[in-house]
Amino acid sequence: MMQLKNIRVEKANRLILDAIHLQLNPGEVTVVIGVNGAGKSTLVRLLSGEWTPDAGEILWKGKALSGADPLQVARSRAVVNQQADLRFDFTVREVVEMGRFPLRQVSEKKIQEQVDAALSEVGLSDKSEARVTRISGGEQKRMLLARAMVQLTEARAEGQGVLLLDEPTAHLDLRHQETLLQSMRDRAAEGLAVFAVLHDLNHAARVADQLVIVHQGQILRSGAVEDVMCPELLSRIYGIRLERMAPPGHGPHWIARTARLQHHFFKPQSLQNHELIYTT
Amino acid sequence: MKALQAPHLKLWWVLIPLLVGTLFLSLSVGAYPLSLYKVADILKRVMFQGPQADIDASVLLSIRLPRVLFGAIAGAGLALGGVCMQTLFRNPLAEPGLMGLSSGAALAAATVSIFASQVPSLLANPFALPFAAFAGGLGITALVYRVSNQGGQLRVDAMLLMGIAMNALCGALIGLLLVIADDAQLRNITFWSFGSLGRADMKSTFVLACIMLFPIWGIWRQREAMNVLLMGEADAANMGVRVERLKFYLVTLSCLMVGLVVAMAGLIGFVGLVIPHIARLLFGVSHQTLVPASVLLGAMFLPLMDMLCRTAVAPAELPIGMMTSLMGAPFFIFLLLRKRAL
Repeated sequence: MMQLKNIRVEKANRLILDAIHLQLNPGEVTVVIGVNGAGKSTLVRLLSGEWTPDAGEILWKGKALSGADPLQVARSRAVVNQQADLRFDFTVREVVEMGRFPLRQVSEKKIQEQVDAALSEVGLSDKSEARVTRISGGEQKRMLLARAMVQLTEARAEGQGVLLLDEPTAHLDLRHQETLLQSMRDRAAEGLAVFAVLHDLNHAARVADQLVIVHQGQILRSGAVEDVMCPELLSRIYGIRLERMAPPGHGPHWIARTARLQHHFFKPQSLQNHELIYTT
Repeated sequence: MKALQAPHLKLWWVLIPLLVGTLFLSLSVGAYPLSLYKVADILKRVMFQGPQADIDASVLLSIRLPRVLFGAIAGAGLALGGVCMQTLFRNPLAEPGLMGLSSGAALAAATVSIFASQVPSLLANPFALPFAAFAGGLGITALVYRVSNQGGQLRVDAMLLMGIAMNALCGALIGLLLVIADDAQLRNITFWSFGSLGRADMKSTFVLACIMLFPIWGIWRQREAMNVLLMGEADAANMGVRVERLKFYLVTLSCLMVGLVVAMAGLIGFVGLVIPHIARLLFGVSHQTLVPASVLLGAMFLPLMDMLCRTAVAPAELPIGMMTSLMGAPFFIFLLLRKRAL
């Protein structure tokens, strides 16, 4: 669906990304992990077309992204950025309805159905008439996700499209993190190629079909979760001791330990089950 | 549609009768009073019986009607120009003057006013000053646009700074011209800079109306793209908006509208700032409602201000640019305080 071929990006004489090869496949969730400043968000900017690479090619359906019709691309590719830049007091519904912009063949009735469904999926049905500057950061994020889902109405029906998410779980509470992870899997099940930058290794391990570790502007390793998530490698990258635990009855999850600080990670029992039962 | 229908209905049902009422009131009130019944009667007679020769009809049709209609169209254009700039800069405090349009027009008008005496053909030509003002405003805006456009990308922050610099430069040059101007020229420039609808006739009103239809229609067609642009340029591009094309479109159309009004009526400030703000406070920020609301409120506001200018010190007149600021600013503050937006 989308492909990065031998990408190099420099900004102010600093190499941000180099020798990047990456393919986003339909029906797969690709997750990028790495430390701050590794170049993860630059990957999103490249895939969204916001930045152009200094070398290499970005391919959209086999052809150069830069030559593609923006409206056609927008019908099949939606982006949810890290933060929303909300300066005007739209209502939540008005923002979600903006997702209709690239859609020309979809009826008004269908759009409104999609808006209602998207608002319901992200849990904002009761806040649809709230002003966007008066809702929380997490609600803003969910609103943008709902807009992306409306934008991808045609792509979801056709089972081909790309959803780019830059740190989608940031600002979300535990329940909505779970909903979002489930939503990523659901979109992949619809046939979309989902690309997400995540910081939580447990989230990454659970949703990724393809996991990519970016470090110092390069792809250090990519592939299936079991092949990529090596405790020694991750400990070295993050500069913190990381262990893989496998409590009875659960999949593997990650616990970080340092001499100074101990992070407790919690693992929900079931991704499908929205009733939240946590074990330590 | 549920969310869009409510403000739309409110908008049309409230603003259109208000606009019609305002225009009738403006036609009725003046140094030579005409009752509302008389106004309606003359208009009816003209429509069904042809031209009327009595003095009431002459006052209404030759003086007041073109002036009121010109005011309505100019007000709509100025307000919509403000909407364009506020969308372009993604800032509700932006207005067309930020790009140097008004100061460029004022500099050209001052130059023509002072040097026209040395070129007799210029002095005799009634279109010299409006044409110079239009060209001056557009010229400065084009310069600001050109300098702010780097590598095919319009940098809005650079445009703002460049506009501030050009405003300062034009202001200084106007000051310099005022030093060498004689009393008559000084008076001419001062009155032009405060604006007036007094020069309006049916011909200029018809020309303004015909030209203004295109930018109004063009902006209405871009309402959804303008909404998306308010979410940020990167976001808009991700949604399929051709951002650079849209920015060029907004600059060009707002310059055309505001440039025409400034050229024909002089500087009328504050309308482009206050009317979109009031429209936003009353009907929301979506361009679906903001564009028609600004057009209708602008078309109401300017004839109303002109009516006050004509009657406050009748038979003399106050400059409309002064009145728009004098009345618009307190009303604006009142609305902001009422909505607790300050």
